[in-house]
Amino acid sequence: MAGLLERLGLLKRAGRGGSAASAKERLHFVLLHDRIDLSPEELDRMKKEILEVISRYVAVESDRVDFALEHRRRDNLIVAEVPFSKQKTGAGQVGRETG
Amino acid sequence: MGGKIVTITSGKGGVGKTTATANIGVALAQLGKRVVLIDADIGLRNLDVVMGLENRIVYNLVDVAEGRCKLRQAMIKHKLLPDLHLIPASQTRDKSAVSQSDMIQVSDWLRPEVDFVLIDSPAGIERGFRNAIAPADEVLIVTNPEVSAVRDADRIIGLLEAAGKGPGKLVLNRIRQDMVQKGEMLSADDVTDILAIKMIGIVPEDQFVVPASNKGVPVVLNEESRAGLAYHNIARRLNGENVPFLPLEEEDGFLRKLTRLFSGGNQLLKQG
Ligand SMILES: Nc1ncnc2c1ncn2[C@@H]1O[C@H](COP(=O)(O)OP(=O)(O)O)[C@@H](O)[C@H]1O
Ligand SMILES: [Mg+2]
Repeated sequence: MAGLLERLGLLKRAGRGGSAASAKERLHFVLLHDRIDLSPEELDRMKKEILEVISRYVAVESDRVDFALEHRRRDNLIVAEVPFSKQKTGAGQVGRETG
Repeated sequence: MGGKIVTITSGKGGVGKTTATANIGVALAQLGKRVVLIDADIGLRNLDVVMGLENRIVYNLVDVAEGRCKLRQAMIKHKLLPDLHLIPASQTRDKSAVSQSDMIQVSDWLRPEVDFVLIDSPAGIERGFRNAIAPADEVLIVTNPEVSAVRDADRIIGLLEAAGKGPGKLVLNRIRQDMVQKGEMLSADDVTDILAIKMIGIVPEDQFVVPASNKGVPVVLNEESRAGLAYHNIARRLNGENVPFLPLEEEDGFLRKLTRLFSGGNQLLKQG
């Protein structure tokens, strides 16, 4: 019966904040890093190269850049947050949409 | 076509591979299938003691691989179930005594003779694991609802896929429904969600498992045991039956007894 109640969401509240929730969160984190299987150096190099490409088109505020691995539904994602201040001078032909 | 080769593996040790192999094997034999169990954990053999067959061993898998005996001579017949045999591991040698092609050869010999070959794999991701999965038609991955065990299961799933043996099916062992309800243990849904593979069985933590291995009588032979019912259901699913998961494997008492009556598997044993 309890299994059924849980399925209906009626017992969900009891579970909130328990250690199972942290187990799940920690597993998601650990598995993302296991699955991408890149060394910290390789990850660093990847970030640098991505920023290099973006900087060719816009002026990046490099101190506020954030890269993260995320798990959403079934997908493993590399999520990049790259704030930019203005269109880079001299990139007129490719950066028309910006600013 | 012949029999199906099923390897039971895990990343982490001690999660319940040997217990699962013994019990699923007995349950399949109770369903009237011809079954051979192979202990591929060379150097750390224990499927023989879990099965209660340790005092009948003469030859082992390494003797077969090295041509010191015929396959038949290394096959130990179960005391109650004449269609269930065990090929034990060597206790004195190490994993390098057997190769992937040995495992494939032995499986090919057995395939026309039996319905199922269950291979009990050693833990880890090295040679012993590679040997155990080499001949597999299907792989079961055993895990526990704990962070380290699930993480290691994920690694194994990745390696199985890379070896063309994936994705495999999951046996979630030692689950405690009371703890799941309190939010203090990962649920079956949590684990399938994280690992994204199909579940073939959910086995509860069960007080009858340890006494069963003390006695060398697999717990599936104990009609009181909830873990026993879960192994029985895994056997039926392996055999192609569509056996629903809920609520039967998580609930105690009346409903469970009812399924026992209808599933009929254990009746066979009383006659055998
Ligand atoms: N469902 C269960 N309930 C209680 N104890 C269990 C259960 N499954 C396994 N065990 C116990 O856990 C231990 C390890 O199991 P074992 O099958 O030897 O694991 P492995 O072969 O993966 O190393 C054994 O002592 C066994 O009796
Ligand atoms: Mg074992």
